[in-house]
Amino acid sequence: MPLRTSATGNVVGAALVVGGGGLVLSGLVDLAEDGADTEILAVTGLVVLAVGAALRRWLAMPTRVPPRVALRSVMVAALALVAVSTIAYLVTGALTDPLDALFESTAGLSTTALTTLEDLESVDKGVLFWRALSQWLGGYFALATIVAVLPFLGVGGPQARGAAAPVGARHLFSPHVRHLLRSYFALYVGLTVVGAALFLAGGMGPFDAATYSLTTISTGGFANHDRSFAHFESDAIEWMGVAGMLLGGISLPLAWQALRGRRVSPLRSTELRAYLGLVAGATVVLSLTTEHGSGIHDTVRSSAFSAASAISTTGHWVTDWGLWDPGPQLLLLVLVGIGAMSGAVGGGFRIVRALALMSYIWRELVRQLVPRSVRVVRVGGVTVDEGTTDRMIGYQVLFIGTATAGFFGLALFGADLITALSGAISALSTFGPALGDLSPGTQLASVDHGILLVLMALMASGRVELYPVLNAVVSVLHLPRRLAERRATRPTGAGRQR
Amino acid sequence: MHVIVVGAGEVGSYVADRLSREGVDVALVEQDAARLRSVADELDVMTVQGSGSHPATLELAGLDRADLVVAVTSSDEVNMVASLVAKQHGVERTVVRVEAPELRGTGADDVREAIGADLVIDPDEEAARDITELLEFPGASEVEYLAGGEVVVLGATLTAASPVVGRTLVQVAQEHDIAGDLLVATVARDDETTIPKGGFGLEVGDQVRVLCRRQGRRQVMDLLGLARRLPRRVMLLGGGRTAELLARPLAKRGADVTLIERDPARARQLAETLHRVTVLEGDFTDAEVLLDAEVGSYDVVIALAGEDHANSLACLFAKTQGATETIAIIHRLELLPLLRQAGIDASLSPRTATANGVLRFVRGGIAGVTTFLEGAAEVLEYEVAPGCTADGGVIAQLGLPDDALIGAVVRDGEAEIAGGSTRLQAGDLVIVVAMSGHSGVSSVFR
Repeated sequence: MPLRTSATGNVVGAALVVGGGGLVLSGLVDLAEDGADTEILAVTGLVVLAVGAALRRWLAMPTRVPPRVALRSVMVAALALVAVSTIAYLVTGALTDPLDALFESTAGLSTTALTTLEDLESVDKGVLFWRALSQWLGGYFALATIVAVLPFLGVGGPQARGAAAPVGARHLFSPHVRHLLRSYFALYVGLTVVGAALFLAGGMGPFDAATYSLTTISTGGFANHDRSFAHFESDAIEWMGVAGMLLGGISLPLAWQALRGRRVSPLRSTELRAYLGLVAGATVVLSLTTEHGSGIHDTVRSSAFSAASAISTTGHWVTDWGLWDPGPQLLLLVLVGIGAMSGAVGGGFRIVRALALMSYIWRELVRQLVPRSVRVVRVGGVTVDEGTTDRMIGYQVLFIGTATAGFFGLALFGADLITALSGAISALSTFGPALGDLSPGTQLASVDHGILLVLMALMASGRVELYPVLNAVVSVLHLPRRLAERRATRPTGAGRQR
Repeated sequence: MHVIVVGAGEVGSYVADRLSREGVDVALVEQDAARLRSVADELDVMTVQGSGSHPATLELAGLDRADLVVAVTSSDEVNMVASLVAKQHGVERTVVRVEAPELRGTGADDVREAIGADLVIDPDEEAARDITELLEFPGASEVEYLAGGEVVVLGATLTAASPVVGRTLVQVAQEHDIAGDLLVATVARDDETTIPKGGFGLEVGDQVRVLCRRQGRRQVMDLLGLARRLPRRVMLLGGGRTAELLARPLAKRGADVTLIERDPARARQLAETLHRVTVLEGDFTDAEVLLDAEVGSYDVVIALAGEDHANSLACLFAKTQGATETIAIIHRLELLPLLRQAGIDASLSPRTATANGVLRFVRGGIAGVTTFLEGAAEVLEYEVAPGCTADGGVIAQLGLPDDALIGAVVRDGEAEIAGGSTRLQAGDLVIVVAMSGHSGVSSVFR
């Protein structure tokens, strides 16, 4: 019997159940592999699971959830998962420095490919599995946020939720949303199985196939090896990686509609065409401007890999783009900034918003030239209503503002300009590796702690589409004033009662 | 014959008027009492106040003895119910005005069958189609397709550019070898319309109508001095339904379409539904708006608003600014000759096409009827009945009255422009040009 209702408590409970379950699963995987950390992972997992289950039992979901509370729930649940993960790294001894453990956890749950672990080949298998699983869970967490919370705010971009989203729904988990979340989860699991099968077919071992699939379909980008996909030195595995990352960047609502044989909205199919077009175009340009390995085939493959990794914001790599010319480097950065499709697990600004923004800019230009003209913003012939357009412009300002703040922050802590700029965009898009000092394969242990903190803030903000973090920041800023108000009003309230 | 017309709007009152002039017994049903009174003052019809969807109202209008119910209110639903009620009371035929594309499409076949509509019409769509046909013949003032499209009537005002000016009809026929290809059906000069004889001399300013086969229409355009280029830049003034229906295919064809609409909300709606059409918000009766839109740079300016004066003034203004061609929708037919004199290239009334469709139902034995907007001439289509006077007869010897002319004969789908020696046979579709009040023409074919 629930004792009281609390949206935040209930969502946190659910997050802990999932996180604890994940830890137990990691312990079981560890048992099958080397068994070194089985007990500690399983026990930690069970404790977390029990706490989560208790929270869910005692704190029921209220029938009405105001947007502010929904945002707070997302934020607190994300922090709870990060805390669970941090504890796991510390108790297993995989990481001893709390900040490193916190960074690894944040990178994991935000599906960013930045790691503080060194010499990955020697890390315990159970920890590696948890690390991969945390990215997979983080990917679904982000998707659930977009589907369940952000439609409230209308910032998920046009039709982020799927066809026929109920407008103004106030239930955080209405039956419709539950149904969508279950459908997308099934699809997500299915895609992960497909990914694992691809990697197995490419020649990976079962453990690598499973973990790489978890980090690829979730567009996370954690690798079990210091040299990421380059470790395998296998053309087949690299092509499978390209396919897996492209799957991760595809809109799940679109895939769901297509699989169910429903008519796909022209908005989504236009976005899909733009997505594939960007990958193909970038592959061609990178093939012409960069060189890799011995011959054209190697160059094309590494170009396709880099392009797919960038636009899906995964972060796997086969070539160090820190060594490229500035032109292709900038192209890569632009792809990372644009990001994946709306309703996909990948991050970034998202293609549909970029398309709508282009239409918007064109409209404003025409308005200047022909003041009487009446135009609407369109994507693929579908009208984007003015409210959505406004929110999209707001989101863009917020996105660029956050990136700029991150850029300043990184530079303040001593990063050079290229590192700071590329690092800010990359972390905000939950990509990971960047240019300069953050080029692929960098040891983060040597990086200033301030820089790590700024990167963490960017990764977390980018993963939950900025608004929950913005809400938290505003709440914290207002906290002293609100406390003061509460103190000031209390005597008056008491007086009235009397 | 008794006909009930439901709806005394623009279309309904015009249809009622035309029918009553033909000697048909008409009852006009209208809900708005004021509207009904003003119509009753002008027309010689019986009027009934009430909703056309109520059986009681229709019974008052003589439902039991009605042969035809024409439901043309602006509400699809009222029209459809009126048809349903009429069919249930045993009325033989109904004509229903339906505007919603959802009710006109194949998805609503069952619904239309259930209400028993024999003819579904949409005045806006017919106006849009007429304008589209006009645009295919730049410079023409009238385009009518007859006999299922095999025969075309083109109307145009002769200019000095036309090679036929200053020639008699006989001379034209000799110089251009047009026998069997085209025929000058009527000529209007100084407000008087005649069916010309061979010795008739054509002059600049004559408003001629030429009957030709579909394949020969290019040649006719040359003879009339018309341009052959399809309009590239089209401006639509007024964002009503006709404009919407017109803009879509034009834009699809690749034309550069600009639409000016006064109401901001409607403009926004049009911008949403019309892809690749430039929508401007503004009042086109304001010369500033037209100047800003560079109205003079357009190939065709079409004024489609509800007010005749706005349409005609805007077209005149566009003409002075250099627009190549102007077309105006005009609701009051009396204005038409005036507009032509003022230089507006073509003008048409949305209600005539609808009225023609209705008249087709009223006149028995005639395959199709087309009425011209202006002047007193009509084009009629007859099928030659076996054993009638015309069956086996030569045209010159049929003894047709002076004010009627057999223009074309369609046999087995092949059209032929008629000459005096053409022999008719049963089953031929005959196209007759006649002045109104063509007594005694139909008896030849029955």
